[in-house]
Amino acid sequence: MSASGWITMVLVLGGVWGGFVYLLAKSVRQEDGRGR
Amino acid sequence: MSQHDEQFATRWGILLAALGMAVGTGNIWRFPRVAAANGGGAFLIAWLVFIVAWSAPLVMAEFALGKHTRRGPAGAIGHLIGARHTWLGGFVGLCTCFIMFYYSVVTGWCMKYFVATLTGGLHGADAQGYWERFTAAGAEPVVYHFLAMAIGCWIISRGVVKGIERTNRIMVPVLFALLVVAALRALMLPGAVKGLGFLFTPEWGQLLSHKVWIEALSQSAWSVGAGWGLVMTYGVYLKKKDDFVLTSYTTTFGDYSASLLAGIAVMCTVFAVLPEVDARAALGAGNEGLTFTWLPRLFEQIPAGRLFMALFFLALSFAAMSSLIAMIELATRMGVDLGIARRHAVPLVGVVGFILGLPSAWRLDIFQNQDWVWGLGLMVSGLFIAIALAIFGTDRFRREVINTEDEPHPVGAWFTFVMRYVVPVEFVALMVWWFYQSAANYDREGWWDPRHTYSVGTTVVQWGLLIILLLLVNRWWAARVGAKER
Repeated sequence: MSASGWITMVLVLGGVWGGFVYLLAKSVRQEDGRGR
Repeated sequence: MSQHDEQFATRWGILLAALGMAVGTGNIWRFPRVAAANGGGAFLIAWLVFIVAWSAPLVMAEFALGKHTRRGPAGAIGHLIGARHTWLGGFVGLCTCFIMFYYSVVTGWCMKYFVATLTGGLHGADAQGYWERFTAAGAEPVVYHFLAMAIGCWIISRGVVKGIERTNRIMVPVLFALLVVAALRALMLPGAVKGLGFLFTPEWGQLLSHKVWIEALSQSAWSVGAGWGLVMTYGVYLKKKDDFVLTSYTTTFGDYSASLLAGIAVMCTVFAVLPEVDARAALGAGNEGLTFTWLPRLFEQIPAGRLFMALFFLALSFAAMSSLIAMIELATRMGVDLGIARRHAVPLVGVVGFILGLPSAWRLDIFQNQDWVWGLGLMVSGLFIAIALAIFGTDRFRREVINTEDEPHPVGAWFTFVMRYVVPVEFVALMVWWFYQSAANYDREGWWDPRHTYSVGTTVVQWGLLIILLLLVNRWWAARVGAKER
């Protein structure tokens, strides 16, 4: 795979998976904060 | 909402239900081949744009409509903008019901292949012949269609918390775990990096191609499930203090994450096992062709492949079932809104869904026709939701219905811009593109003929008949759901 392929892979996976994990963590914090 | 309606018990329950709804077979069998065929990394960039340009705002709009009106699609839109517009919501809901009829058949196929991997029926078999015998036999797809519908209705009959929430609490984490395992296994195959190359290497010139953008928009719309009315239905069961903007983003990113996992799993397996020419042929074989005729062959050729084949079809079955139950709940909700008791509405949906799914179970061409007509119909649904918001006042909707005092993550003015201007433009682009595909590529001779599977004619006639029917019963339906004239 070319360098541009690796860079795109890191950016896309980092953005989407990182975004998902960040949002999940934010949801967890909010759930804990409400003490449900 | 009647006082007997349940509500989701936890925020997790809402999120997992929304994720279960969003992550379906389209993530696993459509995304990898569409991404690879449209410029790899360039397609992915375009696909990311539609998080904000279609999917996330529509998911937010749907949650808000359901929570605000406490009704399914027809009642929600009738209540928001007046009784005479109830038919717009009726189209949104019934379009998804038509999808439910054949999606139950698809769920049955996935279950059948999972069972076949456990019983050994698929092992060593000619995968092409196996698929053709299975679909041509008629009886077996019908039995699995019945099972899928029966299981889905049983889950829904248990209610929102014990049925939808509890089922998704199990299925969705297991589904993600299975996708992670499948992706890791595929990455460890010798030559897997070739698959990664096809998925991620950007052909930047493709970003200038309208086809890449249209395919990316189509994939985002079909995959996330925005505009289907499903999120609107789940929104009915939110508590007053439940916020949904964060959940909307998380659902969209979760759906995209599942697509990327499936993309890695499928692409790496295909390119690790097959020479490039055959790999391209496999990816060009369509959804069913790739999943049910190529992948079983590939799994046979990798170490511990039978185990991973079973895990793959289990993941596919879970993805399909968690989406199917959302569709059954939508149909049930529409029945409840019409005044049918829930305990009667669920079996009614089951019986009607089973009967109207039979043609798709019996004949593949009917299945393909319904997938074409109502898959495109979802774009109309997205437009109708945007129109409903425009009639109400899109920015007023954002300020008064989304950004309430219970919402800690208010959405910005970009939402208004996207729903008011971008979604209608995208709708026009999608229609022009897919109708052009029908006339220029799929069916050049008979693109106008309603009897042809992939024709423009069949789409216009079936949508037209539904809209005429909805207009005829609009006054009655509006009265039943309690929508008032504004």
